[in-house]
Amino acid sequence: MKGIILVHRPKKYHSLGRLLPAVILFIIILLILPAFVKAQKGFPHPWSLHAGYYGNNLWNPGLQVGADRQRVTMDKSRNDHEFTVEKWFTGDLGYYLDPGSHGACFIQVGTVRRKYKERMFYTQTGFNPLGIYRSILPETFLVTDGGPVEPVKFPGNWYYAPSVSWGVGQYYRKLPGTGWYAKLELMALLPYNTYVQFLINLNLGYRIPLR
Amino acid sequence: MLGVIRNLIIVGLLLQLYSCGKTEAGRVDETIYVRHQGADMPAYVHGNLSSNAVLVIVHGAGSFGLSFREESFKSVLEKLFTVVYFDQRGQSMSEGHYPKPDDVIRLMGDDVSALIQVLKHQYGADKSYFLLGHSLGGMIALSSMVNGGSQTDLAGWICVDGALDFPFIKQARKEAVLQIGDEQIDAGNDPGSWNDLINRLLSLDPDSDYDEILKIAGEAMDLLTTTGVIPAGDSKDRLRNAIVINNPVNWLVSIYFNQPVQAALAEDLSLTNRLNAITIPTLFIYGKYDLSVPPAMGEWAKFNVGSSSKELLLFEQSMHHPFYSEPEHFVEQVAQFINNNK
Repeated sequence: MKGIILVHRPKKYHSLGRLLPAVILFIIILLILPAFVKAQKGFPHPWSLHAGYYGNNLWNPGLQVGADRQRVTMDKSRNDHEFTVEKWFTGDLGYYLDPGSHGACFIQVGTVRRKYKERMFYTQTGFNPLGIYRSILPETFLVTDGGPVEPVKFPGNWYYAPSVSWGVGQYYRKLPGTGWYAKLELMALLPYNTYVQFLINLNLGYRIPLR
Repeated sequence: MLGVIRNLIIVGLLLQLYSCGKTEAGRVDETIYVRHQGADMPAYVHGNLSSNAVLVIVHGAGSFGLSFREESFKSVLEKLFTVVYFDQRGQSMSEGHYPKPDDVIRLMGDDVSALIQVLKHQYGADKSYFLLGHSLGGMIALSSMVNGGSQTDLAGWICVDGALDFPFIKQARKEAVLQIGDEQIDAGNDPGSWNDLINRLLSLDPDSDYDEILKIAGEAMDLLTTTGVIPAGDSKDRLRNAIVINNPVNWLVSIYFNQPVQAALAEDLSLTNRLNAITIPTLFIYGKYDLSVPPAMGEWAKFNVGSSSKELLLFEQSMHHPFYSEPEHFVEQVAQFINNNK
């Protein structure tokens, strides 16, 4: 039974325009990149939205919202254990505040793989190769050698910010795609000072399908 | 998409203003950043804004500005003066983009000079500014004064366990461990362990066995604590500062990738030949049992410094962090020095 893969075509997605209110239009914009990846012609593409707490260094508070677009669902069997694997494109927009020093906002685009077992939980691993991170600093003053002290407008720095994540989530069989999730994320900021900086982030949220 | 990012940045800035800046009449609690040579470095400003004295703290290797902000600093120094805790380039919450510098110690000294310029711009040029550098921060403060030209903006320098001369420290460390070991054996404080340390140390060469001697010095300082010669520090503030107030992930990763002390060691950096250029009032504070930067460094620095007003205080129950081991005595001496010279 090893390695048997059955590919299902998920239900056709429709009427996105009616379901999405204007206030979440920016979430669709986030997904511009995944939308370009419509390589398989006529591929059905259900969507889901998620939002939740984003904790930089676990307790620096923040918010993350995003949308997922389904790519493929596979029923697999390995060593007499059956499970389902879903692969999604995902896009996220987030903000957090480190109260003593800085804030930051970021956009991430990537993929997530969810593995469902018989129980009502799934595990997920994510990889976001495309990420942009912008630190937001409080009042900042520029000092140039021999020059005057000048305030900096919109102080902060841009970083390339890829990330990987691992987490768990709840799966309602009656309402697939709905439920809470929790994940830990490791984000790299490049170039940061002379090399790189890593951030460890906690994400607790809720996911709802759009069908 | 750029519009969304711009709007988020504006919202973020508004939140930043609320979270990082709080200035009330007579009291300041705010974070400002200094941008210099590609680095954005936070300065955490706390204390009595109506005071005409500002104390600027330059931390040592592997540390961070707010590590100093314990109860004694808050209850004494911040009540009397404005206190500025500074995260240096490549350390803790500092960020930015810049190439690996050729002379990182000099650049860090220039950063401190830039910080002084910003503080004068922000809080008034008519105030008296004092620089307190600890360990490697002592050398960075000295570089700021003699290379970065900040001495003219300062009313005084407090050098705490300052590592001003690495070749000197290499030699002095071995001698200090041997001397303190002998004293402890005579006093009957775990003579077996001290004999073991001394026997391991005797054959080592200060130049070629730097790491091994430093390791033995560390074990000796542990022994001084376990035998009760130095009181074990216990501070909730320290743990809170390290984990909650400071971001430990940023701090640890920064330490891993940016180690200016290694550059200073590799060059055998010494600035004692520049000490004669220092003419402002200077207070040297060293721990009697400091085996990281032995007190002989303080004696040598006091001998060489050009100031007419200079003093060396040995803290009798301290190793490398007298502000942790004897906090009340420490802040009292610092406050007295500032009050005498502001």
